[in-house]
Amino acid sequence: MAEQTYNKVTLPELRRMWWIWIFFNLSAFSMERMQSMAFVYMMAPILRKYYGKDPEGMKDALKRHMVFFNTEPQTGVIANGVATALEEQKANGAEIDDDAINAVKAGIMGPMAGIGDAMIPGTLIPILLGIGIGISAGNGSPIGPIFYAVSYLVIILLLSYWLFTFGYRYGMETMAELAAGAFHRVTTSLSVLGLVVAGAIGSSLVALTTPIAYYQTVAGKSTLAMSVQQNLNNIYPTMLGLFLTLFLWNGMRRRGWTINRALGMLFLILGIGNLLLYMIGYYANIPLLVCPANTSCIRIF
Amino acid sequence: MTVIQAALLALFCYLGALTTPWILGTSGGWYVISRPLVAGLLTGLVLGDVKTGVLIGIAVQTVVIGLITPGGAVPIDLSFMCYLGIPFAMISGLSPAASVAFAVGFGILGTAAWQLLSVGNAAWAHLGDRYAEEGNLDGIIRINYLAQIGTFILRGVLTFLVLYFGQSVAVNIVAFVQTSLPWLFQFLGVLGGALPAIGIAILLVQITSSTRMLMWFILGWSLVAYFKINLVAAAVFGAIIAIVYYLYFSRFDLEQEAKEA
Repeated sequence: MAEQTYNKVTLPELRRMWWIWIFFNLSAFSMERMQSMAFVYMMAPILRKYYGKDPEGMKDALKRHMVFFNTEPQTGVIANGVATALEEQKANGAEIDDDAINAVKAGIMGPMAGIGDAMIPGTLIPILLGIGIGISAGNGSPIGPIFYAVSYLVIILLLSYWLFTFGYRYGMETMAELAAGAFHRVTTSLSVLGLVVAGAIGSSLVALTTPIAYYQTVAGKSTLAMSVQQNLNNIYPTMLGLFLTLFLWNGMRRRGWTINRALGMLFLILGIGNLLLYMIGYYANIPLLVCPANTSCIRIF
Repeated sequence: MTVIQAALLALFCYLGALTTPWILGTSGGWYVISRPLVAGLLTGLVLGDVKTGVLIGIAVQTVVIGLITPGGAVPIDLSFMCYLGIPFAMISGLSPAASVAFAVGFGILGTAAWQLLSVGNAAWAHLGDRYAEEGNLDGIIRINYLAQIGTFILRGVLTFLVLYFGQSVAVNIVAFVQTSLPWLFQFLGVLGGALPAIGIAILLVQITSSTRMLMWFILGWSLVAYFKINLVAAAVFGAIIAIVYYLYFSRFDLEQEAKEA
């Protein structure tokens, strides 16, 4: 830093960093560090520029950015933008210590992971997939998948690039905004949208019904007299699916179930409710379980 | 399935894996090539029956439409679901509905591959730490490429071997299960129907900052349950509600939350 002019990150450098991130954000993913290796790679253009002739500065910078980093990579890129701005200010002589840069990264990556996951795979992708499925359902036309691929890439790449440059431009102010609560208001409102859509997706896709029904012999033929599912439908259709979802949610939130544990519970519940009964019914041919023709009986599967 | 067909499908499996950078990273790979809807089209193109491919893709897609991978936790592995499940379902001549259970099975098996990779890759992180101590930027950049070895072996090589040498086994197993173990088939179908509940529950854990936010979720659920509106309509209502919430309620709600905390 011989000359005292402010050495800014140029636009081509910014674009290069964003492209590196888009391609490599998960390429060296591990449970231990998640995206930190990709973060260093993304920083490479400006690290070379600022610390290319300063081995000690380079070591510090590498250690600074090798810490755990994880966010929703396409939208959490806002944290990368902010970190770039801070790195630029630091290299130009501002008093910013390593902890401050990492605190900002950690402060943004967490909320953005939640918001990003809710907004992108949780909201945008299901909506686009829904339209794509609508186009191709029944006729098997290739237009649906093509529509999805093109529309998703256009939207996500423009959004991601905009968020990155937004983070870079507003740098510290973004953090101030985060603290002021205005950002929190926006994200809470967005999660209202996410929740409504999540509910809609759940309602249309979680398919859990009960086959329990009572059959009566009418004129020598076994006919449906009372179906539990039909009665449930009169009260609240898809009720069982909602209960199952809330049960799993409660387990994960309150009891800290992992996804595998939740999968296991789902397996267990359905297993007891379905597999066991069906097996017994199928192999032992118990009348209660397998409804014989032309009799009154209760079907439970 | 010829060698070339199996190799092409394995290539798609690798390119669409969560950790493969080459096709616009996660955006073009995981979120496009590894969506069952798109995988159905690609598999159909390779195997020469686009219509069946897309229809199976749609059936499988509906099970995992709300799937997200928070913090690298993959509840069901889309790579194997797409590029082992769909091709095997196609060559076994399964109906789209029966394909779902079949593909879900591969998806569950595939999570083991993902666990192996995400734990094994920690070795690269340790090497990265050493390079950082030395100030070796090029070394860390190189790791981003070298870490592809694991992904390529698991998603490319393994997929090819299973596809090419496992095809007759898969066809026989499907035939056996269909005729001899119908209860297993039925169970997988029920499991396939209930599986989206896990994806939705994960989504809920992520978005709900407080339990009272749950009301919005139940609102969305009820809108569809009672009025049978489609997802786009639900998104429009959700957007209107979110704007109203932002303008009139969010400030109060956050103050209230801060007071309770």
